[in-house]
Amino acid sequence: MNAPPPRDSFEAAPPGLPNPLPRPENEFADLERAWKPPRGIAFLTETNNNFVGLWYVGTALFFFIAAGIMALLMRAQLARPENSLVGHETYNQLFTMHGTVMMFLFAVPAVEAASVYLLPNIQAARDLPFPRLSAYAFWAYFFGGLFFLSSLFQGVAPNTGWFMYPPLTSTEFSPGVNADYWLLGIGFIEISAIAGAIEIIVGVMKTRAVGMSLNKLPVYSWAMLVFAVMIVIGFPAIILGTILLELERAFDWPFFIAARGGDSLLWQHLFWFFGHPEVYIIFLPAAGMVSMIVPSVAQTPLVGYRLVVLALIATGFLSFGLWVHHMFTTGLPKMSLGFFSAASAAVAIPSGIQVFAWIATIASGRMKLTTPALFIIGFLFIFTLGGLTGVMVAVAPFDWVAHDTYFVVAHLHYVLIGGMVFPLFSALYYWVPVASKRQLSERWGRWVFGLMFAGMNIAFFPMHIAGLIGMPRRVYTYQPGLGLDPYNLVSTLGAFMFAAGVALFLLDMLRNFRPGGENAGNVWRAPTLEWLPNGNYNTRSVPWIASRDPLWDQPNLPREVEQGRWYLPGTVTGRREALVTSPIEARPQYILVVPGPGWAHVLAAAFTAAFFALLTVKANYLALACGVAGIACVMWWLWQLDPGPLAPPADIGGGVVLPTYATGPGSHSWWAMAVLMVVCGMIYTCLVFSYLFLWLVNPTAWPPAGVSMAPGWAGLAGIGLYALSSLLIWLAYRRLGGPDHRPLVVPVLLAAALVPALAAGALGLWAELSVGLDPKGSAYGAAVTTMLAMQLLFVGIVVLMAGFTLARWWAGKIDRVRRSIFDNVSLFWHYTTGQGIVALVVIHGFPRLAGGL
Amino acid sequence: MERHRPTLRLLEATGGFLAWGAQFAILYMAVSVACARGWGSAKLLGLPALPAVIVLSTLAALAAAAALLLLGLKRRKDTGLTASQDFLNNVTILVSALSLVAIVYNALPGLLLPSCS
Repeated sequence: MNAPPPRDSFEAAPPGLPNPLPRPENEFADLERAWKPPRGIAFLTETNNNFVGLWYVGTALFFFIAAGIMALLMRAQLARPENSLVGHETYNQLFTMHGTVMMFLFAVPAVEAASVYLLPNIQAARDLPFPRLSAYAFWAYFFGGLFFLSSLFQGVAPNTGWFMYPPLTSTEFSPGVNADYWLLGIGFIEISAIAGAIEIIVGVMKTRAVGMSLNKLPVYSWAMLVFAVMIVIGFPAIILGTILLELERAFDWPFFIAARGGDSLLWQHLFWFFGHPEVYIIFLPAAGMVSMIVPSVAQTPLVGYRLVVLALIATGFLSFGLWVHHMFTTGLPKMSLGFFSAASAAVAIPSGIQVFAWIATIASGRMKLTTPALFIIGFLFIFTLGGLTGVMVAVAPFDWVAHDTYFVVAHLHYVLIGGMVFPLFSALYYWVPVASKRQLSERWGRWVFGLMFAGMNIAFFPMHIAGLIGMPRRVYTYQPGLGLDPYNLVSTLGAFMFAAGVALFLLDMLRNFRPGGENAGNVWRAPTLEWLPNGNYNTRSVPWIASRDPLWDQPNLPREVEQGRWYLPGTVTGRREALVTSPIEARPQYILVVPGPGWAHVLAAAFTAAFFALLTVKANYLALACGVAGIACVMWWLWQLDPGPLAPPADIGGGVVLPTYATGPGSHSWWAMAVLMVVCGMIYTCLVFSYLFLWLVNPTAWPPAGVSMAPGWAGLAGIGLYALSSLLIWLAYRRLGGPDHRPLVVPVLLAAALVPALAAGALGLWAELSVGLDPKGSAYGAAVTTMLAMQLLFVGIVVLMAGFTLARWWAGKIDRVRRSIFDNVSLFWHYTTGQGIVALVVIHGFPRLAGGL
Repeated sequence: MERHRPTLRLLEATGGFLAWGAQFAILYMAVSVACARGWGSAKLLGLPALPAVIVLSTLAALAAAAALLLLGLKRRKDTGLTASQDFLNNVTILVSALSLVAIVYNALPGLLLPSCS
């Protein structure tokens, strides 16, 4: 790495403020100029988290309202028996879209959106490390989400439930495009979620206030870190699931068709391996918000900080051991159910730790019953009830009775509204003064809380009873005289009461939310850094912090920061910059020049969305054209990155001299590439799991009778070719680090490494097809073909990357120092060859070892 | 500490749950494969194979988590730790202690319930 040598610890207070007064003339003006947003239509190209974060939150709230209106329509339909307000087909689309939009277009994006806005402010960073990636994630979500929602107005919305179980979603039973809207639309939006997660991981680990070591990291940052890691591990399962189901629907590859060796339970495993952690994926950020708000409203430090961090980490792990508890009625062995039942009960421990920490903090302070505090109390009440019914349904025999009834509907709404919506509303009331000139009305806020709290309980508590009486989920009507009428009527009244609360909140937002310019200030006397005086650049200078509650322990900090007396009070390169810090101790490492506004990422998002949208409606050639345009825009975007050192190392204050460029394992881009490789690795691991699962459900023979295996030499040759390709890239990497500034052998080795990689990818697929492997004929054929085709796709990406790298070489944009792009390409290259070797070992080795078992 | 392999320190801090995850995966896969293939009553070296896998994987996971717990407790006596080092060490202790509970919890169904019913 070309990062600076280690310097002294920043855990202790620096000797005096690092920058003296008066500050040089123009220092502040230059900073403001660098962060000034573009005007007119070009404002849409802005990447600053303060703007993108607000757009993102606003869009998420729009989808919340849209899905809420769908819920009201459903409740109106169910208000009385045999109602005919909406027909069964429309009702099917409504409940599918309500669940899908709430989970994928509101809950996850809302917490990511909030973090895009909040994280840099809470960590006193100028921005997240990849602002264009955040903006791309937003625009992809914006375009993709609107397209997905439009399906409802065309009458072709998905109609098979938000978890899309095959065989109901197979071509045979769902021949229309409804399911394709879900698979392609949601699959695309998941990519946006992963882009956000990469940003958050690197942002939490690498862009913090000086001295904000892990023991001083705000709980919200911890929560977002665990959240993002969970997305990286969990979302690939559903991405792979959507790929397999779409392949089955488009090409008749029978992953889930039992007659040809497939199994619909494979979908359930893939879906719930994502789906259950998803609940915690949206709960943990909310819990992080609560851990920030509770100390502030109680005016006392959080009790049990270490235990709360432990709880976040524990939840992150344990939540991956729960997915089968959604499958208790599928006939799995009881011992297997027992493992998941045990983990489901165990995960209550960390949730309990957090609840007790919040209650203890409230008890040890003097909490004012402001609107954020009221929503916290509502959250504790509702979420705890949802948790208790969760422990009930974690007991398999009870679940066999309650499964697919309104009891489960009640449980999941208590968990999700209690665990996410109430904390989010608390957060909105709490943090609006950071972004707005005026805070929201406290008087209206009490009404909002009262209506939402009462409405929520009136709507959902009776559903427990309706479920226990036997009312099944997803029915568009019911007969009179079954004892369900009063419970449904009360639920409907509650739903409209809840909606009235949300409507009142929106009116208050219209009245009082005024972003831009001066904000309302630290109205809660809060202890954390987002309440520092701020502007488009976030904080004028990046402070050193002494504790987890810096504004309480360093009362002069706001003034000092605003005067520019802390680190990096201006701009060194004249561009937008962030301070990169080390992951554990938050020592300053280098000055990162962050990319600013541009059209490339906006157009890339629009074309990517158009690609998926056109694919959904089977306009394949147009889709292909948009796909190519999207890739071109990404290339255009990437071409502007990796500028190299734009200025010599600069003093950011107190004699701390930092470079303006860094490469290697400590750099932000290396971290991001490492996380991306974990995502890719998880997708492929899920594919290998699918292959092994299909082996398990095909006990007679693997490959099945009548299907031949490719010769073993093809596998061995492929492994050798991948290894050779990696070796050549490793040699190029070594030579670029040698004494020559631009050794010519590097592009030669890079180009040469393409040949064995391409040959191995093509050979793998050709060898199987040459012995007559038919992906339509059997689940084995489908799985093997998908493994090899996906590998070929990765090789294709490597080809694109190599072409891009060679072009940059010839443009003089890669050399011994300026090499981030080359390093990232070489990392991805090794990953691809490694994945290819794993694929060949599994495809050629496993059947020979275990095929007859 | 940071200059001395921060990745290793972070791995230590989460190692207890990694052991839990490995045990969980082994138990679930072993039961799934054994029951799907009718090997629920199979013997390995004269011992019932499935219970043996459950006990051995549980003991291995417990040993790993306990080793991390002991490492953390031992390191706690080191007075030269900085605040962030001390914090990470405490996380290691807490995580490995809680993971011991989770590992035992995992094993209970394997020891109490019949294999493939």
